[in-house]
Amino acid sequence: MALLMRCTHQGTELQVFGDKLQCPAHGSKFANNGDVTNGPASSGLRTFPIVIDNQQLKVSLK
Amino acid sequence: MSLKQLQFLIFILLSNGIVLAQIDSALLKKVQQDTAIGMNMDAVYNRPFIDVGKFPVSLGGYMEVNWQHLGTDGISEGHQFQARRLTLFVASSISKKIKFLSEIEFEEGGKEIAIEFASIDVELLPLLNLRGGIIMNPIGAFNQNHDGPKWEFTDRPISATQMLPATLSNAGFGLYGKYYSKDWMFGYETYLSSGFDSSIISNPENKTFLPASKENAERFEEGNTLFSAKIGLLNNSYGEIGVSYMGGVYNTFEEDGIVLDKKRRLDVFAVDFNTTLPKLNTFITGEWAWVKIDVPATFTQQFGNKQQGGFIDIVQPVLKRKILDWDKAVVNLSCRLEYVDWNVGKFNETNGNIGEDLWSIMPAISFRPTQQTVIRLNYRYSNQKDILSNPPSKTAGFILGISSYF
Repeated sequence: MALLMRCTHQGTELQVFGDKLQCPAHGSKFANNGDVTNGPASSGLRTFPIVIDNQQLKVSLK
Repeated sequence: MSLKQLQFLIFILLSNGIVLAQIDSALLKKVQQDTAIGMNMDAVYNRPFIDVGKFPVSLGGYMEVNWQHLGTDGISEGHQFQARRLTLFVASSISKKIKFLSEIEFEEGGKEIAIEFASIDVELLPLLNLRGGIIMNPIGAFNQNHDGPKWEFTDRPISATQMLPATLSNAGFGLYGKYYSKDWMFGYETYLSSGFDSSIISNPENKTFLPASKENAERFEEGNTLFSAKIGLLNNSYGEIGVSYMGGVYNTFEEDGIVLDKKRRLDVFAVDFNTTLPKLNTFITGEWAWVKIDVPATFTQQFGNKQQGGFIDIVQPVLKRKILDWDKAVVNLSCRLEYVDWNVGKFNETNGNIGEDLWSIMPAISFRPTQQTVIRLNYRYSNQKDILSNPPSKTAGFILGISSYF
């Protein structure tokens, strides 16, 4: 699964710290599966399916 | 090209079109042109931000509006309707690992407009980010984490606005970083910025008053240097604790090479914490700060050389369920306890305690239809003593407010 690194609160690009993602704007935090763990964001990150094809990682945007 | 080949080509083009039509266009990124190439006359129209669908640019903010009816010693201001502030937030990702973040605040209907925060952040490593711009000094927890909709109380803490200057920002540079490991997080921030001026002991309040420095717009161009730093440690089960410091020379000790005074320092130390109690889900947050100022001996004792104060918020969710059309609505019962002493110490002559202190208790009930929006009703009861510790003036009343991100 791939995650869109865009905070669901006001759209700021997230920063990665270890296995957590944090928004530099208002401090929302997300787990590495996209679930929101700290507000003010109230919904999880957008996710995309991935496939590994011949050692290539393909992210489906559909 | 044969007819069959042409048909195949059209099929490919059409099928590509169908695939593209299924992809959210916001996800498709246009390759940006190098703006350095081109004619000067085109520069105004060829800026990186004139780009529809640029991702991610975020635009948002929050606003706060209140009604209050307070009385001090039986005298009331009557009904007050207050549009406290409207804050606009704009951020963008300039390129990989380079971000711009900003917050512009309009207070009192636009009477006060301030760039509270505007920085360019360059991520070198997760533990090493460079930040430059108008930065928010990391003293205590409230200064940086001050957004109205995050709190259950209409007013900002007194210690964070009337002792420490809330939303204190200065021009400067710094480094910050965070490190996560399982349930633990360690973070640090450190900045060198412009700082305070002599107005902290020369102001209309006639007391040592750090927020007076915010009136000085020169701090974005020149002035004394302020060092500020914070270390934070978080555990997912136990909560977060932060220790912060800011300090520097505040007076004009030299002008055009002529020494006017000795260098006089201001030092502020703060501790903050927050935790959520297991099972009860009670959220507790607070901070306490100590201020030490080198006040000239020629000043009277009404200008304190030591101050201290802080607050603690206790927030208990009592209802978490679908209310009307909101699936995850929450009702909280809360209470804020505050104390500030603007002049710690005793009079030299009498050895009696110097007054100038305040305590306040503020119970609250708040309704959050979503995490972004809060409707809150507070009752404030505060007790403020003058410098001679005469019988205190008592303030009490109700405040109803709504605050929301947008």
